[in-house]
Amino acid sequence: MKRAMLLIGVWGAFAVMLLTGHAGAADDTDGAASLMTPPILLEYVNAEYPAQALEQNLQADVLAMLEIDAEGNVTAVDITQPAGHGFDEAATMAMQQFRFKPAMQNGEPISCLLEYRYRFVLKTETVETVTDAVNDTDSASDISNTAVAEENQGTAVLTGKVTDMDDRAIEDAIIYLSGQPGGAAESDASLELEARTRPDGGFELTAIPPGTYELTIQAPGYQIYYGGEQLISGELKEVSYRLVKETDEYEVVVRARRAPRSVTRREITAQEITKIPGTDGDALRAIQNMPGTARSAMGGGEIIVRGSSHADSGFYYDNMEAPWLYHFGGLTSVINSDLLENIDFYPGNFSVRFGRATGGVIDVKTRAPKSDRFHGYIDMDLWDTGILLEGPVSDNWSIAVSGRRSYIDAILSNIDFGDDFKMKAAPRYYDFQVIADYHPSEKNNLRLFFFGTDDKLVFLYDNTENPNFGGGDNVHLMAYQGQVAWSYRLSKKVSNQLDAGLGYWGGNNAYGKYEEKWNVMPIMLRDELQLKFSKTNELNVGVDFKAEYALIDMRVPGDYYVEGSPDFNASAHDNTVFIDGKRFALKPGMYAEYKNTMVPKTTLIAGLRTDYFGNVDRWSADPRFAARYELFKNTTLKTGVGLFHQAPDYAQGDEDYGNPNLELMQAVHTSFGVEQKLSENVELSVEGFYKHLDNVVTASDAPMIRDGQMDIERFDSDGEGRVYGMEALLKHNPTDRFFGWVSYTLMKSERRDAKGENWRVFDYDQRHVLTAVGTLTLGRGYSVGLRFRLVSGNPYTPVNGGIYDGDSDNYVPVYGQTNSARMPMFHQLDVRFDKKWQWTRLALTTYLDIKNVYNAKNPEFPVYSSDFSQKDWVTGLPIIPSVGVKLEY
Amino acid sequence: MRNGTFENNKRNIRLFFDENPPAHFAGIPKAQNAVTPAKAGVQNAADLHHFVDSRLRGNDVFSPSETLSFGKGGCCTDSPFLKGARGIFDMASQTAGMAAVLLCTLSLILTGCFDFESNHMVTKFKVLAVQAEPPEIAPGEGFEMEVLYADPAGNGREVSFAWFMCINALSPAAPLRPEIGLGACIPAQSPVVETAANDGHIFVADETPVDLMSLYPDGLLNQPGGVPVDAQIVYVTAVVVACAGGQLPGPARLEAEMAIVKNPANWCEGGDGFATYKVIRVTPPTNPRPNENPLFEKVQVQARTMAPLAAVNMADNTSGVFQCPRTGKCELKLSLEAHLTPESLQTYHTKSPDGFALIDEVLYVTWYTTGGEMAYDRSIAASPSSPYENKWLVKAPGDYTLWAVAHDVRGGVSWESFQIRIIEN
Repeated sequence: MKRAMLLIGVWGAFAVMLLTGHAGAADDTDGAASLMTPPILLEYVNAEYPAQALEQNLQADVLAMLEIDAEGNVTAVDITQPAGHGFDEAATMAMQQFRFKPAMQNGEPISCLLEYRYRFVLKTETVETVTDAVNDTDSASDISNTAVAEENQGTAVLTGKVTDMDDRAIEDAIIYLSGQPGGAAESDASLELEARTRPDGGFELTAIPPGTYELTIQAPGYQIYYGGEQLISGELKEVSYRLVKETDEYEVVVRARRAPRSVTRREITAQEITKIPGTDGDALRAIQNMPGTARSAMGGGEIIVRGSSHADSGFYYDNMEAPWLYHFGGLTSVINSDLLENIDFYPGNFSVRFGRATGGVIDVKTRAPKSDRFHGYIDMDLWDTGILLEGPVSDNWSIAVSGRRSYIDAILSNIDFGDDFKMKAAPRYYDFQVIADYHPSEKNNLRLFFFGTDDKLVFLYDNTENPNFGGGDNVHLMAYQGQVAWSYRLSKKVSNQLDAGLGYWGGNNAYGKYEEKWNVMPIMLRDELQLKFSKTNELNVGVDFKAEYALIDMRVPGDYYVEGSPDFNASAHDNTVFIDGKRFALKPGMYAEYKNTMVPKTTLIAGLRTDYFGNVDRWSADPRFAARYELFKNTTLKTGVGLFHQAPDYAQGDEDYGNPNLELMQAVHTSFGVEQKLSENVELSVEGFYKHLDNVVTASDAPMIRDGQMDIERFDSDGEGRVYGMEALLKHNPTDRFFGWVSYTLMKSERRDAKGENWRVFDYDQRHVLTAVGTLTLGRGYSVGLRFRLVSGNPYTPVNGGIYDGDSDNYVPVYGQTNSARMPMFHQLDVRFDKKWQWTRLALTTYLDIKNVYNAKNPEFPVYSSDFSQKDWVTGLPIIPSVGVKLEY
Repeated sequence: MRNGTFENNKRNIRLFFDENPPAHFAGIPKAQNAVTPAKAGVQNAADLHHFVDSRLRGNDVFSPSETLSFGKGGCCTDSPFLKGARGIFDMASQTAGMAAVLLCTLSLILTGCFDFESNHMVTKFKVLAVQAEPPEIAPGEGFEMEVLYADPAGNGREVSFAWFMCINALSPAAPLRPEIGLGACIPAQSPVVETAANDGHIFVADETPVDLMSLYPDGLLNQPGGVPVDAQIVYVTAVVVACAGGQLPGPARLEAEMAIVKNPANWCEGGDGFATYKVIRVTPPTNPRPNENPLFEKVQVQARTMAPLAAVNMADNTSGVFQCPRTGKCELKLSLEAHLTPESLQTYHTKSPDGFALIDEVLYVTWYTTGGEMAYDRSIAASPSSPYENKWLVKAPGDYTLWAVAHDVRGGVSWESFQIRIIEN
C-alpha cells in the first residue's frame, strides 16, 4: 500500500494564556480572565515526518505550549503531551519556525501562551487537497488525480470532504464555486455553483467547465474559507478542506498565567453567557448560577453572595462603580451583553483593589469594538429590540454603538388585570452604550465609555365603577455615566491604569402618599501603578476615590425596611418624614498589594487598604492576605483571610432621617479550598468559608435628639452575623461540543439584632443550592442546553392569625418568630435551543428558551387573606417560552 | 345558619381612667424593645401597642398596597421586596423591588389569584366594627364603646368579652415609642370580663387621672385647627377580646398573660375568639374640630330605602323583600347605596411639607353580608355629595343580613344593619 505523509498543524484547545509583563485591562484585573483576539498563524512550517515513525506506520499528536511574543515570534516550545518516536523533536523544530500575528487586547499586541496540537498522520492513497486552517493556502499541498469519468468529458468534477481540525465531518457546509470558465468566451456569464455537505461532510460539484475559480466554504460556527481551485478538462479532483472554528473573541478564553490576586475568582465567558438556559442570553443573570450565590426570589436580580445582603456586594463596570445592574432590578442587564468581554465574580476574600463592600464583588468588563470591518446586528426577543453597530473609524479608533428599547409596556398595558388594577404606561426601559477605543501604540490604549439607562413603571389602581380604589405607585429610575480608561505601559516592568468616571443617577418615585426624588452625581477616580521588580516580586499601589453629591426631596414613612422584617408591615407606617436638601460625601481610598512567588509553586499576596467614609465620618484599614500553593501539577491549594468594611447606606446614616453615629459594617472573610484539574477541560473546585459580620445595621427605637427635638434613631449598629459553608464547582470548560458545570453550595447564614440574643437565620438563608448547567453543540448550527436548579426554600416569618384594628378597619398580623418557617424546596428545569444560519457575511440566530419546563409551582412567598386566617403561596412564574431572533452582519 | 337572619349584636362598654399615671411611662429600657418598628406586626400581645400607635398616626387607610390587598396584586405589593423598595435612595433595593413586583404581577396574571373568602363575607364569628362615642375626647371626659359582631353559625351561643385599656403618649416628657406590652399599660384595674347577660353595663370616666395635655410637645396645642391628626399625640387604646361559646380566663390570669400570649384571641378556650382594639384620641377641650362619628342618612337597596334591622320585624319588612326573575336561576344583582349626613364630613389638620394643612376627612363604607358576593368590600364616594355605592349579587333565595359600616380615617365609626329576603317569583 502506497502511503504518503501528511502533516497537519492543529489549533489545540484554543486556550491562550497571557504572559506576564504586558499592560492592559486584563492585567489590571489582578490577572483576571478576559477575552481577546487570539494569535493568528501566518507562516506554517511542515515538520519532517520521523523516519522511525514512518517505518512503523505510526501517527501521533504532539501537544505543545507555544510562547509567542508581542511580535508574533515563537520564543519557546514546551511539549505538554509528548508522543515519542521522534515526533516531539520534529514538531518542536517546525513550531519554532512558526510566525504569528500576535494576540491583541484593546488593540494592543501582547505576548501570550498558545496551546497547539501538531498532528502527524499518514496519508492514504486518496488524493486530496489539504487546506490549512488559517487561510494559509500557500502551505497546502495540492495533488490532483487526473482520472476522468467519461460522462464528464470536457468538464471537471470537484468532490471531497469538509471537516474541522479534528477531522470531524461538518454537515451542511455550503461550498460556493464562482469564476469565469477558462475556455469560455469573454462575453459568457460567469459561472456560479453551490453544493452542501452531507452528514459525512462529503460534497460533489459536477459538470464544471475548466477554469480557475474562487472557492468559498461557509459553515455555522467556523471561519469562512476563501480559496481557489484550478480545474482542467476531464479532471476528477478530490479535495479535503479543514475549517477553523470561529476564533472570535467570544470563544477564546484568556487566562492569566499569574496567580490571581484574590483567593477565588469565578469566571463566566461570553460563550457560556449567551447560551445558558433560563437567562435569555443575559450576561449578568448568569452569575446567579455560580456557587456561593443564592437564588433570587421571583427571578429577580438580587445577588446574594455567601449569605450577605445584595447591598453588601460591589458592582463595577470597567473599574467604576455601577449604579445598578438590571432593568427593573432583574429583567435584563442595563449593558448589552454583546459588549462585554467577561465578568469576574469574587464571592469573598477579594483583592484590596476592591473596597466599600463586605459581601462579594462583580467586575464587568466591556470589550473593544471590532476593528477589522464594520459589524452590526439587530436582536429581537419578547421583551425588547436592540441594535449594535461597530467598526473602525480610523487606523487607531474603533467605535461601538448599541441601544435597546423594551415593548412589554405595550403588551401589559392591554392586559385586563381586573377591576381594581391597571398598569399604565409601563413598564418600559431603554438603554444605550457607546464605546470608543483609541490605540495609538502598543503602549497606549484609551477607552471612552458612555452609557445610559432609564426604567419607568407605573401601577395605577383605578376603577371607573368604584372610586374606592384610586392612586398608584410609580417608579422612574435613570442613570447616565461617562468613563475614561487609559492604560499605559512605561516599560516591561512598569505600567499604569487610570480610570475616571462621572455619573448622574436619579430617581423619582411615588408609593401612595409617599414620594422620593433624588439625584446623585458620583465622581470616581481610580489609578493603579503596577511595578514588577523581578520575576517573583510585584507591587501594585492605587488610589480609589469617590465623591457623591446628592439632592433629595422626600416624603417617606418613618419606618424602614431592614433585613429580618416580616413580610407584612404595610399597616405599620410610622409618622411621615420630610427630608430635603443637599448631601455631599467623600470616599477616598488607597491600597497597596505585594505579590511574591519566590517560594516555588507558591504565591503569596498581602495587601492593605484604607478608606474614609464621609457619610458617617469614619475610617477603616483593611489588611488582607491570600496564598496559593501548587501541591501537584494539577492541584492547587488556596487560602485567604481579610478584613472588609462598608458604610451603612445613606438613609441609615443620614442625620435627618437615620443615625449618623452608626459604625462601619465590618466583615472578616476566611476561606480554604482546593482546585483540581481533572482533565484537559474539566476542573473541580471545592472551598470552605467562614464569614463573621459585625456592626450590622438593625432597627432601633432608642431616643435621640434631632434638630433639637426628641426622635428615635431608627437604626443602630448592634447587629451581628455569621455565615459558614462550602462551595463545590465541577466545570467543563467550553469546547467545540460542550460546556457546563455543576455547582453546589452548602451554607448557613445567621443574624441577631444584638449580641446576647438568639441567632436566627438570614432572610435568604438557602441551606442547599444545586445548579447544573450544560450546553451541547449538535452540529449544523444547532445546540441545546439545560439548566436544573434545586434550592432550599427561603425562610419566612409565619403569621399566626390577625387582630382586627377597629380604628382603621383592617387586620394586623400576629407574627411568629422571625424567619422561623421555611418555604418548600425550589426546583426548576430550563431548556434552550439555538440554531444559527451562516451566509457570507450574514448570520441569523434564533433561540427558544423555555423556563420552568415541567411547570413547577414553586412558592416564592406566602400571602394571606385579609384577616390572616387563610394562607396561600405566591408561586413563581409558570412555564414560559421565550424566543429571540438575531440578524448579524 | 348561613343565609339566616339574626339579631344585631353589640356590646356597650364604658371606660374610665385611673387617678395615677402608669409607672411604666417613666422609662422603658431599650432591652425591652423586643419588637422594632420595622418588625411591625404582632408577635405577642405587647406588640399590639405598636400597631395601635402606627395605625393611628399613619392613617394610611387608602395606601395602594393596602387597597390592593383586597384585590389582585396585593401579594405583590405587600411582598418584602417592595418593602425594600420603599427605602429612601437605596437604589439596589429599589431596583430589586421593582423586579419582584413586576414578576410577581406577571405570575399572578399567568397563574391566577387566590381563593380566599372575601372580607365582606360573614360565615363565622367575627367582630365587624368597634365604635367609641365620642371617638375623640378631652381629658376628663368619658366615652362609650360598642362592639358590632356576628355569629351566624353560633345558634345563639353565649358571647363574652374581656376588655382593658392603655394610655399612650408621645412627647419629650414621655418615652418615645414605648414598646410596652398591654400588661404594662393597664392604667387602673384588672381586665374586665363580661358576658352578654351583662348587656347594658356602662363604665363611666368621671375625671382625668393625669394631666394628659402636659404630654404634648410645646406648641402643638396651639395649632389653630387643633392637634394635627398625624402629629405626636396622646391617646387611649381599648382592647376587646370577644369569645363565642368559650371561656375567657379570669381578670387576674388575663393580666398575667397579656405580655406573653401571642394572640389575645387565643384566650377564648373552647370557643371562637376574636381580638380587636380601638384608639381614642385625647385632645384639648378647646379643640375646635373634635372628631365625631359619621352618621347614616339612609341606605338603599335597589333604590328602596331600607329600614334598620332594629326597627322592624321581618314580617313587616316589605321593603327588604326582593323577587327573583320569573325565569331562569334565582339570582339578583342588587345595587347598594349608602348616604351619610353632610355633617359627617369634617375637616382636620394633617402634616404637610409646609407645616400643617387643613384637609377634608375621607369617609368610606365597609359592607358585610351573610351571603352572596359584593363587588367591593369598601366604597368611597365619588364626590362629597355622592352616595357610597356597591353591587351585591345574591345567588339563591333566602334571608340575608346586610351591614353597612361607615368609617372616617380618624377612628369615627357607625353602622346600620338590615334584613334582606330574596324570594322566588
